[in-house]
Amino acid sequence: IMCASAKYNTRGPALIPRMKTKHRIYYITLFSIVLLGLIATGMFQFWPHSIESSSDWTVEKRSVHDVPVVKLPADSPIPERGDLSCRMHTCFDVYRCGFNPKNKIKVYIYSLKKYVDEYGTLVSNTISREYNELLMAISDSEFYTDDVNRACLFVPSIDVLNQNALRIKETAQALAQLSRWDRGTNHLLFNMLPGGPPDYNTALDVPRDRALLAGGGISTWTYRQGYDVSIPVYSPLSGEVDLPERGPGPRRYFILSSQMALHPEYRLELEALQADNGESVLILDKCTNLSDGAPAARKRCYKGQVFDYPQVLQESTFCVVLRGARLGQAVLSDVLQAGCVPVIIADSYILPFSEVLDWKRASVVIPEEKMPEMYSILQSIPQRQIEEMQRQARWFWEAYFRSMKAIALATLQIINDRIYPYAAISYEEWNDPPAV
Amino acid sequence: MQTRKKYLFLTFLASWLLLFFFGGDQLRRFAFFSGRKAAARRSWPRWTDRSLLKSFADPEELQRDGDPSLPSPRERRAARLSFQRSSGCRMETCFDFSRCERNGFKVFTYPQERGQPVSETYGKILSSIERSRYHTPRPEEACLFILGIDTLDRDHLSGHYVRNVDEKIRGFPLWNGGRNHLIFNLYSGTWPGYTGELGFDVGQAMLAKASFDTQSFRPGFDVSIPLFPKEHPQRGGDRGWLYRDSVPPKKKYLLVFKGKRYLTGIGSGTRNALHHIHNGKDIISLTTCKHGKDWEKHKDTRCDKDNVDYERFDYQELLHNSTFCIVPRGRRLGSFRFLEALQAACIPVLLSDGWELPFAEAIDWGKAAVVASERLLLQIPSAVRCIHPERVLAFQQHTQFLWDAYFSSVDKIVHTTLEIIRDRLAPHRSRSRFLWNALPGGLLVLPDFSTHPGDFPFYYLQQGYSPSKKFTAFIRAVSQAGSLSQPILRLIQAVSGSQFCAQIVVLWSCETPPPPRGKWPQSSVPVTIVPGTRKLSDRFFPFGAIQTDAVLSLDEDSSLSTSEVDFAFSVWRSFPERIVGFSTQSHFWDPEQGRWGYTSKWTNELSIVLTTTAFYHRYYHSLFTELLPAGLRELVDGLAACEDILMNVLVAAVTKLPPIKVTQRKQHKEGVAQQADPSAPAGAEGTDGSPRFSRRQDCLDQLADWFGYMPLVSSQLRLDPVLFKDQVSILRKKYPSLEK
Repeated sequence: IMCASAKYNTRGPALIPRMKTKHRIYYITLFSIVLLGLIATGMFQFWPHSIESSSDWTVEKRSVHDVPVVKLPADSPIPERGDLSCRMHTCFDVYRCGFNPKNKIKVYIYSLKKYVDEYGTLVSNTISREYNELLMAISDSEFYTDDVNRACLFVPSIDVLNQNALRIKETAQALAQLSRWDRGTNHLLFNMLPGGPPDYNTALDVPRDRALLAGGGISTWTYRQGYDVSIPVYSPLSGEVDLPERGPGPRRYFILSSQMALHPEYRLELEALQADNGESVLILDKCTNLSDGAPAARKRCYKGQVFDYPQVLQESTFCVVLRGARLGQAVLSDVLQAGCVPVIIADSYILPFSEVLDWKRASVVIPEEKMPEMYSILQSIPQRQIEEMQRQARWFWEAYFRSMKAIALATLQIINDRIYPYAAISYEEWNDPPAV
Repeated sequence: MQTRKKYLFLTFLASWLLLFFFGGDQLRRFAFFSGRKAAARRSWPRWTDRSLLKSFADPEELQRDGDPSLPSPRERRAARLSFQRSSGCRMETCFDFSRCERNGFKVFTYPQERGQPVSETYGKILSSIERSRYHTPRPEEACLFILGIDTLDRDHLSGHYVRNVDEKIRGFPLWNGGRNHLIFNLYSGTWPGYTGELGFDVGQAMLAKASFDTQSFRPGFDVSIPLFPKEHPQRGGDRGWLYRDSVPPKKKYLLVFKGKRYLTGIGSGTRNALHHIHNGKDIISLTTCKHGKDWEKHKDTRCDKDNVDYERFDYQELLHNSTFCIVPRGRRLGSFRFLEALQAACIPVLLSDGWELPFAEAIDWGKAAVVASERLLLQIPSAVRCIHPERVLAFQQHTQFLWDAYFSSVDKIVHTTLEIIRDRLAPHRSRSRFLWNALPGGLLVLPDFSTHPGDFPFYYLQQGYSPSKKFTAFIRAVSQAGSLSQPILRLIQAVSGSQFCAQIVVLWSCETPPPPRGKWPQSSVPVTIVPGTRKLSDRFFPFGAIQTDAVLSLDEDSSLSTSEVDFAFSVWRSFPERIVGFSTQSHFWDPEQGRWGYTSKWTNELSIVLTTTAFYHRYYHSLFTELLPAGLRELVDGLAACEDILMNVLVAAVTKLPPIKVTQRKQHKEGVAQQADPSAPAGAEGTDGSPRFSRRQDCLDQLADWFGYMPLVSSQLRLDPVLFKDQVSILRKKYPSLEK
């Protein structure tokens, strides 16, 4: 059709000289309008991006509060507890994924609902900002499908990122009534803060049957190797604070600890370390006498000296990431962002994305027992290697920790690689920073 | 005229409208099919109030995770240790690290019991451990214990099954609930279930087991080893079969399998289906039911036809001529086929759901094998067809690397197991996944030397590093006189004249103490004197004084000129993993005597470069002293003539490449050789009768025996400077003095 219109164009000018002058201007104007219209139409029709960007118009503009409400009867079924023996070949229905030339799994997201119990009380917060970002990222990715029948993996829109914020039994019931639940087969749950007092389980306590868990702070005791995915605990500071990349090289402090809620025993050990090695070790704590208004989360103190957090992390070569009640700590993300080499002291912790990331290139893992030897262990690392670790740490943050989108896509890619192993991303692609 | 214009105008208008409403839409749907779909799909809604949503946890909550009233970490760890659960062991709960702190990683093997002979395979495993540098005969200094009872075959129907293991173990005073023990096993369970059980209580012992399934595997604690046949060589081992790359890397067949089909029982599901993908052309998948005693009782309608087809192809022929090989589970998860395919550079396509792959803690199997799903057998032909030729080539090459680095002999399998366990003891001083999966492999990379790839001679090209621009001259002084001899003074002069020389280290191996500082010649570079013992192997000790990557190894009577040093160093910078030197010798196979021969005659080949004047990487000092067991060094010291042969053999075993000879000044050729062999009575050649010559000959033989093969590689190459001996003005040449 484009070609046809071009033919008219070439014939047009030949006709014009034969017309009367008074009509000529009129026809030329008319002709240009038609031509312009044609070009505009063509552009509009043939420019795929212009259509895509305009799809915003068609997306529903709704509020989170307007979503449908689902009432859970008290006796609605509860899934079995998570099955520790699950592996891809036993609990995952691979037939749903099929063979396709692109080797991409299809992910379906359930639409958002508000769940209430029999008395009309909310089961949990409808959705958190992070979980909304995560689902939005999946929805915008190549993995997404809106066709529930073609989906290989299902992501519930029930937000279980933080176990503290939900009612366990009712959440489980909400999961069980999802339309394709089927004992949780091929369902993926994202959780960052598992467990609760007093024993702080390292995996989400919500009964979830066969569902896969992308969990922050999983330990070797609860991790189903090759089935679950260990993910980082997202630090909201990543979005708020912009730390410019700082070149590798020596920094003011050698070891820095910035965590506020350390067990007194750990703090004693750290302070002993500081006493032995003086100025090069800095152990920060929460500030006790801050003027009102300043957010306590963004300040750290040492003997009355106030430091900005997370900026202070950039002043140190190594940053201690100790376990708290949970194994996964959001501070790991801040530390990586600052290009500080994390010294991870958390026995049995499965490091985030350890299935594909080579953490030995970006961190130092020290057994809890060896904490007193930390200084000499770190001293024995050659300077050249420290510089590479600093670069690698920052690169891990940029690629896999930076946003909920990065976390979501890395998780899906790991699952994708298990289903299409012959098309999997290689070690180098996961770990080598892009060439400078 | 007017009508014509009107029509024209109308045609325009009509075509415009048509284009707008139908044409464009149709066309666009055709051309941008997916794009349109993307636009139409229902994506996750952009909530109007999404910016008002609350965070999943407020910053305070994230940073104040946990409350101090929790049990103290020390108590928690102590509780964990006393918590006896063999099904749930991890290093930090079931392994006593303190045993390894005092004496390092030492392995003790229980003495074998009288009247209870072990199987040939277990004998090989035990002797591999005894050959390892970690072996200790004293249990009190051991960190890891290996049983003397043969636990390889735990199928109680088998002839090698050892009874009453439980009782025996409980009788061992060192058993200690299995703590710090490592138990090797190849066959577990029995007909019909073939479960993973061993038939005795392993307690807190680690398992190194073949056919491990992911569910009973205790991550970070157990080790999965490959199944290997009893003919597997103790040491050395055969090479892989990929001698040269073919591009494109296609072989006659795409995918092959030839093996048993189980009519009943576990594993039959997978093996029964294999014949479906057989197409008789490029995919050959043959099964037979003809095995076992009573196969005819269970036989089905396919059996007879299958058996006929089965005989038409030869397994070895298929293995040699196929790009991919199916490695399905047998009764157990692992099979011999896995190592066979790996050696044959036939890319394994694994059909063994839930198999914890051998050494998966260290090895990245995604680079060498296709891990397929038993359930998706029928997708395999199309999946492997879609793999790009360059990836196929990379797969093939990687199979060869893994075979040679970790699997080709029992020694390698056992040593890899030990190294994996050792790496767990100090996570901060362990090999990264990169080091395990790049040539020359994790066994040859000592994390005690460094954990940074740039400190080793192997990764310069790959990682974009370059070796240091300076070298250390390392001179071994042995002269009996208390003063400095003339040659050593001349040598220091010549070497320090080189612009690349960073320091001179003198190893003082004399009975008399070294002369005082003032007696040493003035030189532009620092001279360090390190005291040495009179052992010959001492010259390859990793002295802390050596600070550069390059070492120029010298004897006090070596004679060299500055330009020779400069040129040889520039050659070494191009080949940092090899020995670069001047005087050479070579080895050959002597068919008459049926042994390796050695000659120092001028021949057209070379395989040994004398380390009395040679450049090599500092790392080889560490390998020589730490990788080789003490016994081998004692052998060398005892023979007193072949530490340089051992060094050459070691470097050749690591790199699989010959050393490099560079040109030297003509007139002193004889002289150097003569001085290199001071004990040889008649000239440099070391004629057949001389005791030194025969000692070197013996040494070469014993080394080939220890390594299990002859690692030395011959070369016919000598490197000269450009313009060397060319008919141009001497002024234009970079190394004019080489020709004088």
